[in-house]
Amino acid sequence: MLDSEHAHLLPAYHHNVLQLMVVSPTTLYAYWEISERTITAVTRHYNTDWASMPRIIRLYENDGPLASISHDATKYTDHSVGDAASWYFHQLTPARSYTADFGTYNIYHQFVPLLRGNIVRTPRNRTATIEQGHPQSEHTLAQHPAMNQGATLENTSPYHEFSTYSVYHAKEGVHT
Amino acid sequence: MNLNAQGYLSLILHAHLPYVRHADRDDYMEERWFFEAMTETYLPLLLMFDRLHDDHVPFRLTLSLSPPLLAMMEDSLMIERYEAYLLQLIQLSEHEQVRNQSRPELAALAAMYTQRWTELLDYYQACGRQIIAKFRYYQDAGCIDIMTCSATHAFLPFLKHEVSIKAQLMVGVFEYERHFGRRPRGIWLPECAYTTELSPLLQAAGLQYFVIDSHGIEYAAPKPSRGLAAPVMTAHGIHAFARDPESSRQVWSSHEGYPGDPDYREYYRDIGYDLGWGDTEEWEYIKPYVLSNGARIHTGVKYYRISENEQEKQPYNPEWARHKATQHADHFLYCREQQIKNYQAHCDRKPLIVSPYDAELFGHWWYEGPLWIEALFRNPRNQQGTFAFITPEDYLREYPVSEQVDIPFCSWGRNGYAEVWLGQENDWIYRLLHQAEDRLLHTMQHHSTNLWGHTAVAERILNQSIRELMLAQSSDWAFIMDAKTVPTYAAARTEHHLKQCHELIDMMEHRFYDLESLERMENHASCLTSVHYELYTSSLSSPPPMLLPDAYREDARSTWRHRKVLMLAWEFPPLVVGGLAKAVFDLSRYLVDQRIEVHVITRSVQGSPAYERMNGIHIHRVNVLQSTTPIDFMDWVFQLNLAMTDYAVLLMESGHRFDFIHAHDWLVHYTAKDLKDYARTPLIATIHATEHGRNHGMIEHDVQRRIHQMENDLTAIADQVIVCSNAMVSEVQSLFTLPPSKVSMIPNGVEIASFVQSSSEHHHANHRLQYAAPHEKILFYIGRLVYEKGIQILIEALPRIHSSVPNAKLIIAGTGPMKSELEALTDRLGLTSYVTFTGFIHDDTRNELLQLADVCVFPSLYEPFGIVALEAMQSGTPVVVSDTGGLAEIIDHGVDGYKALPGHIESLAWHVTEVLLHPEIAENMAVNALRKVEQRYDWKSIAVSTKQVYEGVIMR
Repeated sequence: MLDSEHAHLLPAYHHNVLQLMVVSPTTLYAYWEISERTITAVTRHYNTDWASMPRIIRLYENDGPLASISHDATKYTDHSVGDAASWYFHQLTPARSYTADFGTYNIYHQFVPLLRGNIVRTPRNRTATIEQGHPQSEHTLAQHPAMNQGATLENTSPYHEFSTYSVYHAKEGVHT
Repeated sequence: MNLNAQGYLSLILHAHLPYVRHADRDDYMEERWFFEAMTETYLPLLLMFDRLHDDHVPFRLTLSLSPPLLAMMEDSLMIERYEAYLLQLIQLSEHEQVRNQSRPELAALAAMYTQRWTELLDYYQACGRQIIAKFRYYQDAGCIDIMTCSATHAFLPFLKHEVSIKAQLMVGVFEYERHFGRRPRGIWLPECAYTTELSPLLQAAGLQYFVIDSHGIEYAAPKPSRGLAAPVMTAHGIHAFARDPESSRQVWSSHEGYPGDPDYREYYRDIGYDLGWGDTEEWEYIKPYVLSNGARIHTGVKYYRISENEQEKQPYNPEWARHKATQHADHFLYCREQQIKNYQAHCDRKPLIVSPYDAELFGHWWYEGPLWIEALFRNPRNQQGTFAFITPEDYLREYPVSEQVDIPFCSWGRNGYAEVWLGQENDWIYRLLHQAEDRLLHTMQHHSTNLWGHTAVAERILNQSIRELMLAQSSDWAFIMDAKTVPTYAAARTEHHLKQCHELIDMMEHRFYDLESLERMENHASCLTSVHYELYTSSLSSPPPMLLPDAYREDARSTWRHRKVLMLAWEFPPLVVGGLAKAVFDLSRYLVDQRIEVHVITRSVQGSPAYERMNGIHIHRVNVLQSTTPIDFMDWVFQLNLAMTDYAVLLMESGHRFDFIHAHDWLVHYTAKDLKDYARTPLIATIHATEHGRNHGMIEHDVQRRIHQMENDLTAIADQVIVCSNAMVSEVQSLFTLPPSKVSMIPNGVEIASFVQSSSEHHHANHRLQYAAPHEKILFYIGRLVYEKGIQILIEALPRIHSSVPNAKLIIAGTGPMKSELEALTDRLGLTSYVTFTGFIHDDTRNELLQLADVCVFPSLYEPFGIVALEAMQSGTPVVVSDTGGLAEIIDHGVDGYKALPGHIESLAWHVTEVLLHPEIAENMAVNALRKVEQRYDWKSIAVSTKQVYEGVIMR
């Protein structure tokens, strides 16, 4: 059944939603809804039409809890989803926490999150052992210092070069 | 209970049908599921109970009855139609006896059916058609235990909100209570679908046990020591009984299971399908008994047994079948005895084997099923003491505590998880179901605090909307779509109930109550009478205060409304990077004093709440989605605006109506534009500084260009632009081509008497020693360390100042991108021992230093305002500033301070030296400066001016 057939059931809400659901220990399902307002904002900011922008789902994974993406997500995978409004993620790992961002890439191929989903956990699919040791976390992301916001009031800007109103470039000399 | 038993067996029958009552028509094929199940399963079960009871044969089994099934059992329309169904069946069987006169075997079977169905009809009528009461009787008599099920057999892990799960559970509890006169102890989780989230909810509902599939125990952590021989407990003490795979296989399996035996009745040979092909007379005969549109159905008249040979079906022989059932029952019990013996060796308790099945398997799919069950209880092995039939409740009485483990997500569906209910055929339903859930919750939240109160009709509407949603949530629909049996029907049911739910919510939102529609819906979904909207509202926390618009607050009975402004500021205390945060904060709190309701939307700050009220201001802090990988600055600004816009829209949708939006600087431009478009609210923009000005008139880089453009756009879409100095007025008018009428000049302010002259001279003197010796003069700068502030000029001026005032010390407070460069400059000039970089300082330290200093210097190259100069003036310290921008407007040269040529080292050095060498002149200027601040720059009058600008905009 195509979603468009049920359009009449969707009240005019214009809300963003990204929902993850567990199908099995190794499969997740996600559906999303990007509001017109968000699409307009994105196309305006990037000056590109929506169809030409990369539509990416970044799926984050962690052994334990996933309360904070920047701290807990030990690995992620990017999926280019195009015009799709839902997706199945296969060959995942049992007994892991997952969440996802819907976003795009800027011209530097940096990922810009636009919408974040809920956190789910895939179930175990084998017998528990007595005491499982700490598994090696795969490619722990180097914490970008700029991302650690809110350390002290002094360092409240996420960007060293940014000071209140504008971006200052490194080359500052004394102009006359 | 046979206490001498070595082990226990628990037979559990889960009886459930989706709600297939259709009030409008009587020719739905799906409705027949109910009639068939009644005829082939539920009534035969009751008849079996009666027979065992009469024969004094003890029996103990567990039966779950789902609320939709119970609703149909008690419904007068369904009762009426069922009786008609039975009568029609009896009639058909009588006709069959006649039609099959020449075939005695078939005629005998037809007679068997006549006799059977007549017996059922008599029984049904004899108990007043109230069969629920019969089940209750057997529970009260201690022969069976009845479990409940969730309201509409929803796949609970797939409900979006916890409160929805809770509602499904509680309605299951209440319906049960209504029928059986007590609280249920056990619940059949739909499809045995369990997740850890359910545990506390089951506890809150007062439930004590549920059933899961075997891998739920097998994969539990820690590994349960008794394996499948005993239940386990969740963290909340709820017991989980796991299905035994072996006993399950023997009954369920299509290859090796009992029901496939050749002597048993063949399900797929029914006269409803077999007759009338190529024979008009035969077709006319059977036609009244199939669907009105001619579609074939199962009538229930089946003459053949499964037979050894698929091609040649033999006539059914009831005696052989009955005999086989008895044999199979014996085999089953024998196997269980062996199993128990095996378990016993390793188990510290009497092992328990749990055998749950869909009730409808017995009688409907497997015609002889009820006979098999009866044979189980009549079998002499029951008296031998190896095993005893018990119920889970019995077991819990003997073993009230079991191992506590964490049970992973599991179900008894194909492959053990959720693929049956979430796949290509049915995944589309969940976004719709969740959306309805969201909407329903939103409505409940809204109306739970609604002062208008509820009329009885409004309550009925709310209740019915819940009912419709619950019916849409039945897991049966997704199951049917996966099985592809009647997927069109299932999809139609899902859509239909969702549509009704939305219609009802629409009624609530528009306050237009269509009674006729409501009544029609109530008649069609006349089930779940225990549903009450309090199920949703009582467990919901009331909406967060920030989402509560004025109209709904308890004390808002007055008709006079405040003006309401939405401030957009990228920084706000405690996040203070530059002057903007403080300016917006001060403006806001003084506007509050002017009886304006102020809401500020700003960025989230670690350690600060997402919502708070500070000095009467409503502060909303939004989260910007942090990526784990780096991101370009302008994209970050974009993300910030997305978050702010979404939040603002949420506020407005909750009922907040703002009279205007006040945006501060280009950083919030996107949001300002979007909100103006969305809400058509007047927009005021304050430009605190421009990119052009900051860069000395040069816009070179891409980023600078973009910022300049955004400033341009912001001033263009704003209805009024506010700047803080006349210099800025000229600047924005020319830069952005704004007509003079569009620009208002309102200076920034300081709070009068925010300064407390700190304690004693003595204290002062002591503190001063931290920075300089008593004879050494102190120069003080505070502000961001950026190019346009001109600190580098001041550092370069210091050697010249030293030639007249040796050992003068310079304290530089603040932080910024230029810090290292300034430090390097200091070093290069050999001034390291004379210059202190304090970094960021708190307000107290700042105020102290402002007072301690002998002169405060603000050598800006570009300064839209220069609020820090006001603060210095207010602290009674003489100031030397650049003759530029707002600073030039604040200071009268020689009267209340000195103005040096911007960027001019000698000029700056000369004026600072003058102040330091002539303390009486300095003192005089400081006194004048203080008076000026008090008279012209107090926030109160500035707030009044701002308010006037607001009013001016509204009037247009």
